[in-house]
Amino acid sequence: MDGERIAQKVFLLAAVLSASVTVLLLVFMVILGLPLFQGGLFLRILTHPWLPGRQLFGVWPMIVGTLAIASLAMAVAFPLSLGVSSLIAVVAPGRIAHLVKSAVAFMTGIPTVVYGFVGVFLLVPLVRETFARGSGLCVLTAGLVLGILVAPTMILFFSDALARVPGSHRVAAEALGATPAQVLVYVLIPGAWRGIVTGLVLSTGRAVGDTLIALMLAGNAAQVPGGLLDSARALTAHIALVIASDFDSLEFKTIFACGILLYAFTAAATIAVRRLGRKGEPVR
Amino acid sequence: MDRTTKIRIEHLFFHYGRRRVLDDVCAEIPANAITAIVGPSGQGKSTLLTCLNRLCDAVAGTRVSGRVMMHFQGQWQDILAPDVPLHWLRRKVGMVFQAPNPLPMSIFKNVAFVLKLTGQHRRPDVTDRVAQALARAFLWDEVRDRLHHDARTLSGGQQQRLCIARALVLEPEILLLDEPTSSLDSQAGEVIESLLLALRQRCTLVMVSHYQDQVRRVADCVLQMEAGKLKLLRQSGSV
Repeated sequence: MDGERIAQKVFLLAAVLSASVTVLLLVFMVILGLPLFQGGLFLRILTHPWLPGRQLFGVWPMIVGTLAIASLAMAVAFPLSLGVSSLIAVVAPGRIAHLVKSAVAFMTGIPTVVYGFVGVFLLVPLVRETFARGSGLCVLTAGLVLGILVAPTMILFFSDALARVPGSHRVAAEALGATPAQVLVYVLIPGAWRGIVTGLVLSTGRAVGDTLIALMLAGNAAQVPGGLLDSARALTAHIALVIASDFDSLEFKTIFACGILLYAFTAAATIAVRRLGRKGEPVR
Repeated sequence: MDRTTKIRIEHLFFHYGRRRVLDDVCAEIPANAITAIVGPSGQGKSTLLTCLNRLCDAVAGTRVSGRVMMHFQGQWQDILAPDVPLHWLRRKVGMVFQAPNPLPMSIFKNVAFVLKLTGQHRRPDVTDRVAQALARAFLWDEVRDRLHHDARTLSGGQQQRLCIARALVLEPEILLLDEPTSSLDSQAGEVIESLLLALRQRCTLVMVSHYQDQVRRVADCVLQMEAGKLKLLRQSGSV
Protein backbone atom coordinates (compact mmCIF):
# COMPACT_ATOMS: atom_id res chain seq x y z
CA MET A 1 0.00 0.00 0.00
CA ASP A 2 1.13 3.48 -0.77
CA GLY A 3 -0.59 5.05 2.20
CA GLU A 4 2.65 6.58 3.30
CA ARG A 5 3.23 8.26 -0.05
CA ILE A 6 -0.30 9.63 -0.12
CA ALA A 7 0.12 10.99 3.41
CA GLN A 8 3.40 12.56 2.34
CA LYS A 9 1.69 14.28 -0.61
CA VAL A 10 -1.15 15.54 1.57
CA PHE A 11 1.25 17.01 4.10
CA LEU A 12 3.34 18.57 1.35
CA LEU A 13 0.23 20.15 -0.12
CA ALA A 14 -0.75 21.49 3.30
CA ALA A 15 2.72 22.95 3.78
CA VAL A 16 2.80 24.57 0.34
CA LEU A 17 -0.71 25.97 0.80
CA SER A 18 0.00 27.54 4.17
CA ALA A 19 3.31 28.94 3.00
CA SER A 20 1.77 30.42 -0.14
CA VAL A 21 -0.98 32.11 1.88
CA THR A 22 1.70 34.35 3.40
CA VAL A 23 2.95 35.36 -0.03
CA LEU A 24 -0.54 35.62 -1.56
CA LEU A 25 -1.63 37.95 1.23
CA LEU A 26 1.09 40.40 0.28
CA VAL A 27 0.34 40.06 -3.45
CA PHE A 28 -3.37 40.62 -2.79
CA MET A 29 -2.74 43.72 -0.69
CA VAL A 30 -0.31 45.22 -3.16
CA ILE A 31 -2.72 44.63 -6.08
CA LEU A 32 -5.67 46.17 -4.25
CA GLY A 33 -3.50 48.99 -2.97
CA LEU A 34 -1.88 49.58 -6.39
CA PRO A 35 -3.66 52.90 -7.00
CA LEU A 36 -1.99 54.15 -3.84
CA PHE A 37 1.48 53.76 -5.26
CA GLN A 38 0.82 56.24 -8.04
CA GLY A 39 1.87 59.84 -7.68
CA GLY A 40 3.27 59.55 -4.16
CA LEU A 41 -0.16 58.99 -2.66
CA PHE A 42 1.15 56.20 -0.42
CA LEU A 43 3.65 58.49 1.25
CA ARG A 44 1.03 61.22 1.68
CA ILE A 45 -1.34 58.76 3.32
CA LEU A 46 1.35 57.72 5.75
CA THR A 47 2.31 61.24 6.76
CA HIS A 48 -0.90 63.30 6.64
CA PRO A 49 -3.45 63.82 9.40
CA TRP A 50 -6.94 62.38 9.18
CA LEU A 51 -9.24 65.34 8.38
CA PRO A 52 -12.12 64.10 6.19
CA GLY A 53 -13.68 67.60 6.21
CA ARG A 54 -10.61 68.89 4.34
CA GLN A 55 -10.32 65.76 2.21
CA LEU A 56 -7.18 64.68 4.07
CA PHE A 57 -7.12 60.97 4.66
CA GLY A 58 -3.72 60.38 6.22
CA VAL A 59 -3.07 57.60 8.73
CA TRP A 60 -0.22 59.31 10.60
CA PRO A 61 -2.34 59.59 13.78
CA MET A 62 -3.03 55.86 13.60
CA ILE A 63 0.69 55.06 13.24
CA VAL A 64 1.42 57.14 16.34
CA GLY A 65 -1.58 55.60 18.11
CA THR A 66 -0.39 52.08 17.36
CA LEU A 67 3.14 52.86 18.52
CA ALA A 68 1.91 54.53 21.71
CA ILE A 69 -0.42 51.70 22.69
CA ALA A 70 2.03 48.94 21.75
CA SER A 71 4.98 50.59 23.54
CA LEU A 72 2.97 51.03 26.70
CA ALA A 73 1.82 47.42 26.45
CA MET A 74 5.42 46.25 26.14
CA ALA A 75 6.51 48.49 29.02
CA VAL A 76 3.91 46.72 31.16
CA ALA A 77 4.35 43.20 29.81
CA PHE A 78 8.16 42.94 29.72
CA PRO A 79 8.96 43.47 33.42
CA LEU A 80 5.87 41.51 34.41
CA SER A 81 6.85 38.57 32.21
CA LEU A 82 10.48 38.58 33.24
CA GLY A 83 9.39 38.59 36.87
CA VAL A 84 6.88 35.79 36.53
CA SER A 85 9.18 33.60 34.43
CA SER A 86 12.00 34.14 36.94
CA LEU A 87 9.61 33.10 39.68
CA ILE A 88 8.84 29.92 37.75
CA ALA A 89 12.51 29.19 37.01
CA VAL A 90 14.24 30.15 40.24
CA VAL A 91 12.29 31.38 43.19
CA ALA A 92 9.60 28.76 43.46
CA PRO A 93 10.38 25.65 41.42
CA GLY A 94 8.17 22.62 41.93
CA ARG A 95 4.49 22.80 42.71
CA ILE A 96 4.06 26.57 42.80
CA ALA A 97 5.91 26.98 39.51
CA HIS A 98 3.73 24.31 37.96
CA LEU A 99 0.60 26.04 39.21
CA VAL A 100 1.69 29.45 37.95
CA LYS A 101 2.69 28.01 34.59
CA SER A 102 -0.65 26.24 34.17
CA ALA A 103 -2.49 29.44 35.00
CA VAL A 104 -0.41 31.38 32.48
CA ALA A 105 -0.96 28.74 29.79
CA PHE A 106 -4.68 28.95 30.49
CA MET A 107 -4.59 32.74 30.14
CA THR A 108 -3.16 32.48 26.61
CA GLY A 109 -6.38 30.70 25.63
CA ILE A 110 -8.81 33.30 26.92
CA PRO A 111 -10.47 35.08 23.95
CA THR A 112 -9.26 38.63 23.42
CA VAL A 113 -12.79 39.96 23.62
CA VAL A 114 -13.00 38.81 27.25
CA TYR A 115 -9.97 40.94 28.10
CA GLY A 116 -11.64 43.83 26.27
CA PHE A 117 -14.84 43.25 28.16
CA VAL A 118 -13.12 43.24 31.52
CA GLY A 119 -11.28 46.38 30.45
CA VAL A 120 -14.50 48.20 29.53
CA PHE A 121 -16.25 47.40 32.78
CA LEU A 122 -13.41 47.50 35.27
CA LEU A 123 -10.50 49.54 34.01
CA VAL A 124 -12.29 52.22 31.99
CA PRO A 125 -14.35 53.51 34.96
CA LEU A 126 -11.29 53.26 37.21
CA VAL A 127 -9.13 55.31 34.85
CA ARG A 128 -11.97 57.82 34.34
CA GLU A 129 -12.48 58.33 38.07
CA THR A 130 -8.82 58.23 39.08
CA PHE A 131 -7.71 60.90 36.65
CA ALA A 132 -11.06 62.75 36.45
CA ARG A 133 -10.43 63.46 32.79
CA GLY A 134 -12.01 62.18 29.60
CA SER A 135 -14.06 59.05 29.14
CA GLY A 136 -11.48 56.54 30.34
CA LEU A 137 -11.18 55.21 26.80
CA CYS A 138 -7.57 56.12 26.13
CA VAL A 139 -4.00 55.01 25.38
CA LEU A 140 -3.42 54.15 29.05
CA THR A 141 -6.38 51.80 29.34
CA ALA A 142 -5.72 50.07 26.03
CA GLY A 143 -1.97 49.78 26.73
CA LEU A 144 -2.50 48.25 30.18
CA VAL A 145 -4.97 45.64 28.98
CA LEU A 146 -2.90 44.87 25.89
CA GLY A 147 0.12 44.40 28.17
CA ILE A 148 -1.82 41.88 30.26
CA LEU A 149 -2.99 40.20 27.06
CA VAL A 150 0.47 39.64 25.57
CA ALA A 151 2.19 38.85 28.89
CA PRO A 152 1.20 35.15 29.09
CA THR A 153 2.74 34.36 25.70
CA MET A 154 5.84 36.26 26.69
CA ILE A 155 6.03 34.44 30.04
CA LEU A 156 5.88 31.05 28.32
CA PHE A 157 8.60 32.13 25.89
CA PHE A 158 10.82 33.46 28.68
CA SER A 159 10.39 30.51 31.00
CA ASP A 160 11.15 28.06 28.18
CA ALA A 161 14.30 30.04 27.39
CA LEU A 162 15.31 30.07 31.07
CA ALA A 163 14.65 26.34 31.37
CA ARG A 164 16.87 25.65 28.36
CA VAL A 165 19.95 27.12 30.06
CA PRO A 166 22.10 24.03 30.75
CA GLY A 167 21.73 22.73 34.28
CA SER A 168 25.52 22.46 34.56
CA HIS A 169 25.84 26.26 34.31
CA ARG A 170 23.38 26.73 37.09
CA VAL A 171 24.98 24.10 39.32
CA ALA A 172 28.42 25.59 38.63
CA ALA A 173 27.26 28.99 39.86
CA GLU A 174 25.45 27.51 42.87
CA ALA A 175 28.52 25.51 43.86
CA LEU A 176 30.55 28.75 43.71
CA GLY A 177 28.29 30.34 46.29
CA ALA A 178 25.93 32.30 44.05
CA THR A 179 22.65 33.25 45.69
CA PRO A 180 19.46 32.44 43.74
CA ALA A 181 19.23 36.08 42.63
CA GLN A 182 22.84 36.00 41.39
CA VAL A 183 22.20 32.75 39.53
CA LEU A 184 19.29 34.47 37.81
CA VAL A 185 21.10 37.70 36.94
CA TYR A 186 24.54 36.34 36.02
CA VAL A 187 23.76 32.92 34.58
CA LEU A 188 20.14 32.32 33.62
CA ILE A 189 19.18 35.64 32.02
CA PRO A 190 22.41 35.96 29.99
CA GLY A 191 22.08 32.31 28.95
CA ALA A 192 18.46 32.79 27.92
CA TRP A 193 19.02 36.18 26.33
CA ARG A 194 18.35 35.07 22.78
CA GLY A 195 15.07 33.43 23.72
CA ILE A 196 14.10 36.49 25.72
CA VAL A 197 14.70 38.81 22.75
CA THR A 198 12.79 36.43 20.47
CA GLY A 199 9.83 36.46 22.86
CA LEU A 200 10.04 40.23 23.08
CA VAL A 201 10.05 40.76 19.31
CA LEU A 202 7.21 38.31 18.66
CA SER A 203 5.13 39.80 21.46
CA THR A 204 5.70 43.27 20.06
CA GLY A 205 4.36 41.94 16.76
CA ARG A 206 1.33 40.61 18.60
CA ALA A 207 0.76 43.92 20.41
CA VAL A 208 1.00 45.92 17.18
CA GLY A 209 -1.27 43.49 15.35
CA ASP A 210 -3.99 43.20 17.97
CA THR A 211 -7.21 44.85 16.88
CA LEU A 212 -9.90 44.29 19.43
CA ILE A 213 -8.30 45.78 22.53
CA ALA A 214 -7.48 49.06 20.81
CA LEU A 215 -10.90 49.12 19.17
CA MET A 216 -12.74 48.55 22.45
CA LEU A 217 -10.59 50.56 24.84
CA ALA A 218 -8.58 53.28 23.11
CA GLY A 219 -11.50 55.51 22.11
CA ASN A 220 -10.66 55.51 18.37
CA ALA A 221 -10.31 59.27 17.90
CA ALA A 222 -8.37 59.79 14.67
CA GLN A 223 -5.91 62.20 16.23
CA VAL A 224 -2.30 62.10 17.34
CA PRO A 225 -2.57 61.39 21.07
CA GLY A 226 -0.91 64.07 23.19
CA GLY A 227 -0.66 61.95 26.33
CA LEU A 228 -1.60 58.71 28.01
CA LEU A 229 -5.11 59.94 28.81
CA ASP A 230 -5.88 60.93 25.22
CA SER A 231 -8.02 58.85 22.95
CA ALA A 232 -6.18 57.18 20.06
CA ARG A 233 -6.86 54.96 17.09
CA ALA A 234 -4.61 52.03 16.14
CA LEU A 235 -3.93 51.02 12.52
CA THR A 236 -5.75 47.75 13.07
CA ALA A 237 -8.75 49.43 14.65
CA HIS A 238 -8.80 51.90 11.75
CA ILE A 239 -9.07 49.06 9.26
CA ALA A 240 -11.90 47.51 11.22
CA LEU A 241 -13.78 50.80 11.56
CA VAL A 242 -13.47 51.84 7.90
CA ILE A 243 -14.22 48.42 6.49
CA ALA A 244 -17.44 48.33 8.49
CA SER A 245 -18.75 51.63 7.22
CA ASP A 246 -17.38 52.39 3.78
CA PHE A 247 -16.25 51.03 0.43
CA ASP A 248 -14.42 52.19 -2.69
CA SER A 249 -13.47 55.71 -1.68
CA LEU A 250 -10.13 57.30 -0.92
CA GLU A 251 -11.00 56.80 2.71
CA PHE A 252 -11.48 53.11 2.03
CA LYS A 253 -8.19 52.86 0.15
CA THR A 254 -6.22 54.03 3.17
CA ILE A 255 -6.85 50.71 4.86
CA PHE A 256 -4.63 49.03 2.28
CA ALA A 257 -1.84 51.36 3.27
CA CYS A 258 -2.47 50.32 6.89
CA GLY A 259 -2.48 46.66 5.89
CA ILE A 260 0.79 46.93 3.97
CA LEU A 261 2.38 48.78 6.87
CA LEU A 262 1.31 46.13 9.39
CA TYR A 263 2.48 43.38 7.06
CA ALA A 264 5.85 45.05 6.66
CA PHE A 265 6.20 45.41 10.42
CA THR A 266 5.38 41.77 11.07
CA ALA A 267 7.73 40.62 8.32
CA ALA A 268 10.53 42.79 9.72
CA ALA A 269 9.98 41.37 13.21
CA THR A 270 10.03 37.80 11.91
CA ILE A 271 13.20 38.37 9.89
CA ALA A 272 14.84 40.00 12.91
CA VAL A 273 14.05 36.92 15.02
CA ARG A 274 15.37 34.57 12.32
CA ARG A 275 18.64 36.47 12.04
CA LEU A 276 18.99 36.49 15.79
CA GLY A 277 18.48 32.73 15.84
CA ARG A 278 21.17 32.19 13.21
CA LYS A 279 23.90 34.11 15.03
CA GLY A 280 26.29 32.09 17.15
CA GLU A 281 26.34 32.54 20.88
CA PRO A 282 28.41 35.61 21.65
CA VAL A 283 31.18 35.56 24.24
CA ARG A 284 30.21 37.62 27.20
CA MET B 1 37.92 16.76 69.10
CA ASP B 2 41.12 16.07 67.27
CA ARG B 3 42.59 19.28 65.93
CA THR B 4 43.81 17.76 62.69
CA THR B 5 40.33 16.59 61.76
CA LYS B 6 38.62 18.98 59.38
CA ILE B 7 35.31 17.26 58.73
CA ARG B 8 33.48 14.93 61.07
CA ILE B 9 30.48 13.13 59.64
CA GLU B 10 28.14 11.82 62.33
CA HIS B 11 25.34 9.35 61.60
CA LEU B 12 24.49 10.80 58.22
CA PHE B 13 21.44 9.39 56.47
CA PHE B 14 20.29 10.48 53.05
CA HIS B 15 17.01 9.45 51.47
CA TYR B 16 15.97 10.05 47.92
CA GLY B 17 12.26 9.45 47.91
CA ARG B 18 11.95 6.05 49.57
CA ARG B 19 15.45 4.94 48.66
CA ARG B 20 18.12 5.15 51.34
CA VAL B 21 21.28 6.36 49.61
CA LEU B 22 23.46 6.99 52.67
CA ASP B 23 23.02 4.67 55.61
CA ASP B 24 24.44 5.84 58.93
CA VAL B 25 27.67 7.24 57.50
CA CYS B 26 30.31 8.15 60.08
CA ALA B 27 33.78 9.38 59.16
CA GLU B 28 36.58 11.72 60.07
CA ILE B 29 38.34 13.55 57.30
CA PRO B 30 41.82 14.87 58.12
CA ALA B 31 42.84 18.47 57.47
CA ASN B 32 45.40 19.33 54.77
CA ALA B 33 45.25 15.90 53.26
CA ILE B 34 43.70 14.20 50.25
CA THR B 35 40.92 11.85 51.23
CA ALA B 36 39.69 9.55 48.48
CA ILE B 37 36.26 7.99 48.50
CA VAL B 38 36.24 4.82 46.44
CA GLY B 39 33.71 2.13 45.64
CA PRO B 40 31.46 0.86 42.85
CA SER B 41 29.20 3.24 40.91
CA GLY B 42 25.79 4.17 42.23
CA GLN B 43 26.68 3.57 45.88
CA GLY B 44 26.28 7.15 47.03
CA LYS B 45 29.80 8.55 46.69
CA SER B 46 28.75 11.66 44.78
CA THR B 47 25.74 12.08 47.02
CA LEU B 48 28.01 12.14 50.05
CA LEU B 49 30.11 14.83 48.36
CA THR B 50 27.06 17.01 47.65
CA CYS B 51 26.05 16.69 51.31
CA LEU B 52 29.31 18.41 52.21
CA ASN B 53 28.41 21.64 50.35
CA ARG B 54 24.65 21.10 50.53
CA LEU B 55 24.25 21.10 46.80
CA CYS B 56 21.93 18.19 47.54
CA ASP B 57 19.43 20.70 48.95
CA ALA B 58 18.42 21.78 45.47
CA VAL B 59 17.13 18.34 44.53
CA ALA B 60 13.44 17.84 45.27
CA GLY B 61 12.37 14.80 47.25
CA THR B 62 15.52 14.34 49.31
CA ARG B 63 15.81 14.05 53.07
CA VAL B 64 19.00 14.39 55.09
CA SER B 65 19.54 13.65 58.76
CA GLY B 66 22.59 13.46 61.00
CA ARG B 67 25.39 15.96 61.44
CA VAL B 68 28.29 17.11 59.29
CA MET B 69 30.68 19.03 61.52
CA MET B 70 33.31 21.24 59.91
CA HIS B 71 36.14 23.03 61.62
CA PHE B 72 36.20 26.68 60.56
CA GLN B 73 38.19 29.40 62.37
CA GLY B 74 38.71 27.33 65.48
CA GLN B 75 35.08 26.34 65.82
CA TRP B 76 33.07 23.27 64.97
CA GLN B 77 29.94 23.95 63.03
CA ASP B 78 27.16 21.64 61.85
CA ILE B 79 26.79 22.64 58.21
CA LEU B 80 23.52 20.77 57.89
CA ALA B 81 21.91 23.18 60.36
CA PRO B 82 19.08 25.05 58.63
CA ASP B 83 20.45 28.48 59.57
CA VAL B 84 23.77 27.99 57.72
CA PRO B 85 23.82 30.42 54.79
CA LEU B 86 24.43 28.31 51.71
CA HIS B 87 26.45 30.92 49.83
CA TRP B 88 28.77 31.30 52.84
CA LEU B 89 29.23 27.54 53.08
CA ARG B 90 29.95 27.15 49.38
CA ARG B 91 32.60 29.84 49.52
CA LYS B 92 34.33 27.81 52.24
CA VAL B 93 33.75 24.48 50.50
CA GLY B 94 34.57 24.59 46.79
CA MET B 95 33.59 21.90 44.33
CA VAL B 96 34.95 20.53 41.06
CA PHE B 97 32.71 18.31 38.98
CA GLN B 98 33.27 15.20 36.91
CA ALA B 99 32.81 16.99 33.60
CA PRO B 100 34.46 20.41 33.36
CA ASN B 101 31.69 22.99 33.50
CA PRO B 102 33.09 26.41 32.53
CA LEU B 103 30.45 29.08 32.08
CA PRO B 104 29.88 30.44 28.55
CA MET B 105 32.19 33.42 29.00
CA SER B 106 35.89 34.23 28.68
CA ILE B 107 38.61 32.47 30.65
CA PHE B 108 39.19 35.61 32.69
CA LYS B 109 35.52 36.15 33.41
CA ASN B 110 35.01 32.57 34.51
CA VAL B 111 37.30 33.27 37.45
CA ALA B 112 36.46 36.95 37.93
CA PHE B 113 32.77 35.99 38.02
CA VAL B 114 33.29 34.37 41.41
CA LEU B 115 34.80 37.58 42.79
CA LYS B 116 31.86 39.51 41.37
CA LEU B 117 29.53 37.24 43.34
CA THR B 118 31.21 38.39 46.54
CA GLY B 119 31.00 42.04 45.51
CA GLN B 120 34.65 42.50 44.54
CA HIS B 121 34.79 44.73 41.50
CA ARG B 122 38.04 46.71 41.85
CA ARG B 123 39.79 45.99 38.60
CA PRO B 124 43.48 45.77 39.69
CA ASP B 125 42.65 43.49 42.63
CA VAL B 126 40.43 41.28 40.50
CA THR B 127 43.09 40.97 37.81
CA ASP B 128 45.72 40.01 40.42
CA ARG B 129 43.57 37.44 42.10
CA VAL B 130 42.47 35.87 38.82
CA ALA B 131 46.13 35.54 37.78
CA GLN B 132 47.02 34.06 41.16
CA ALA B 133 44.22 31.50 41.02
CA LEU B 134 45.14 30.49 37.47
CA ALA B 135 48.77 30.11 38.55
CA ARG B 136 47.80 27.95 41.51
CA ALA B 137 45.81 25.75 39.15
CA PHE B 138 48.88 25.35 36.85
CA LEU B 139 47.05 27.12 34.03
CA TRP B 140 48.49 30.65 33.93
CA ASP B 141 51.36 29.97 31.53
CA GLU B 142 49.03 28.31 29.03
CA VAL B 143 46.36 31.01 28.98
CA ARG B 144 48.10 34.29 29.87
CA ASP B 145 47.99 35.42 26.23
CA ARG B 146 44.36 34.56 25.62
CA LEU B 147 42.56 35.41 28.85
CA HIS B 148 39.70 36.96 26.93
CA HIS B 149 39.01 33.97 24.69
CA ASP B 150 35.92 31.87 25.25
CA ALA B 151 36.65 29.31 27.97
CA ARG B 152 35.06 26.59 25.89
CA THR B 153 37.93 26.81 23.38
CA LEU B 154 40.27 25.27 25.97
CA SER B 155 41.09 21.56 25.96
CA GLY B 156 39.27 19.30 28.41
CA GLY B 157 42.20 19.21 30.83
CA GLN B 158 42.62 22.98 30.67
CA GLN B 159 38.89 23.46 31.25
CA GLN B 160 39.08 21.27 34.32
CA ARG B 161 42.05 23.25 35.65
CA LEU B 162 40.09 26.44 34.95
CA CYS B 163 37.25 25.03 37.05
CA ILE B 164 39.76 24.30 39.82
CA ALA B 165 41.13 27.85 39.54
CA ARG B 166 37.59 29.16 39.76
CA ALA B 167 36.96 27.10 42.88
CA LEU B 168 40.26 28.29 44.40
CA VAL B 169 39.89 32.02 43.87
CA LEU B 170 37.92 32.48 47.09
CA GLU B 171 40.53 30.46 49.04
CA PRO B 172 38.19 27.68 50.19
CA GLU B 173 39.28 25.62 53.16
CA ILE B 174 37.84 22.45 51.68
CA LEU B 175 37.77 21.36 48.05
CA LEU B 176 35.43 18.60 46.89
CA LEU B 177 36.32 16.80 43.67
CA ASP B 178 33.94 14.39 41.96
CA GLU B 179 36.08 12.15 39.72
CA PRO B 180 37.97 15.19 38.45
CA THR B 181 40.07 13.29 35.90
CA SER B 182 37.59 10.74 34.57
CA SER B 183 36.74 12.77 31.46
CA LEU B 184 40.40 13.51 30.67
CA ASP B 185 43.24 11.64 28.97
CA SER B 186 46.00 10.25 31.17
CA GLN B 187 48.41 13.11 30.53
CA ALA B 188 45.88 15.78 31.49
CA GLY B 189 44.98 13.59 34.47
CA GLU B 190 48.58 13.56 35.66
CA VAL B 191 48.78 17.35 35.62
CA ILE B 192 45.66 17.51 37.77
CA GLU B 193 47.07 14.93 40.17
CA SER B 194 50.25 16.91 40.75
CA LEU B 195 48.09 19.99 41.19
CA LEU B 196 46.07 18.24 43.89
CA LEU B 197 49.23 17.26 45.73
CA ALA B 198 50.35 20.90 45.69
CA LEU B 199 46.98 22.14 46.91
CA ARG B 200 47.08 19.90 49.96
CA GLN B 201 49.26 22.48 51.75
CA ARG B 202 46.46 24.99 52.07
CA CYS B 203 43.33 22.99 51.60
CA THR B 204 41.53 19.85 52.69
CA LEU B 205 40.67 17.79 49.65
CA VAL B 206 37.92 15.20 49.39
CA MET B 207 37.91 13.32 46.11
CA VAL B 208 35.72 10.65 44.63
CA SER B 209 37.80 8.44 42.36
CA HIS B 210 37.39 5.27 40.35
CA TYR B 211 41.04 4.77 39.57
CA GLN B 212 42.96 2.53 41.96
CA ASP B 213 46.29 3.82 40.60
CA GLN B 214 45.31 7.40 41.14
CA VAL B 215 44.14 6.71 44.67
CA ARG B 216 47.40 4.95 45.47
CA ARG B 217 49.41 7.85 44.06
CA VAL B 218 47.70 10.78 45.74
CA ALA B 219 45.43 9.77 48.61
CA ASP B 220 46.48 10.09 52.24
CA CYS B 221 43.31 8.50 53.45
CA VAL B 222 40.97 6.14 51.64
CA LEU B 223 37.33 5.59 52.52
CA GLN B 224 35.26 2.93 50.84
CA MET B 225 31.57 3.35 50.13
CA GLU B 226 29.41 0.33 49.62
CA ALA B 227 25.63 0.15 49.69
CA GLY B 228 25.40 3.48 51.49
CA LYS B 229 27.88 2.49 54.21
CA LEU B 230 31.31 4.07 54.55
CA LYS B 231 34.37 2.40 56.04
CA LEU B 232 37.99 3.41 56.47
CA LEU B 233 40.18 1.42 54.10
CA ARG B 234 43.60 2.92 54.62
CA GLN B 235 45.21 5.90 56.27
CA SER B 236 48.83 6.84 55.77
CA GLY B 237 51.08 7.31 58.76
CA SER B 238 51.66 11.01 58.17
CA VAL B 239 48.07 11.95 58.92
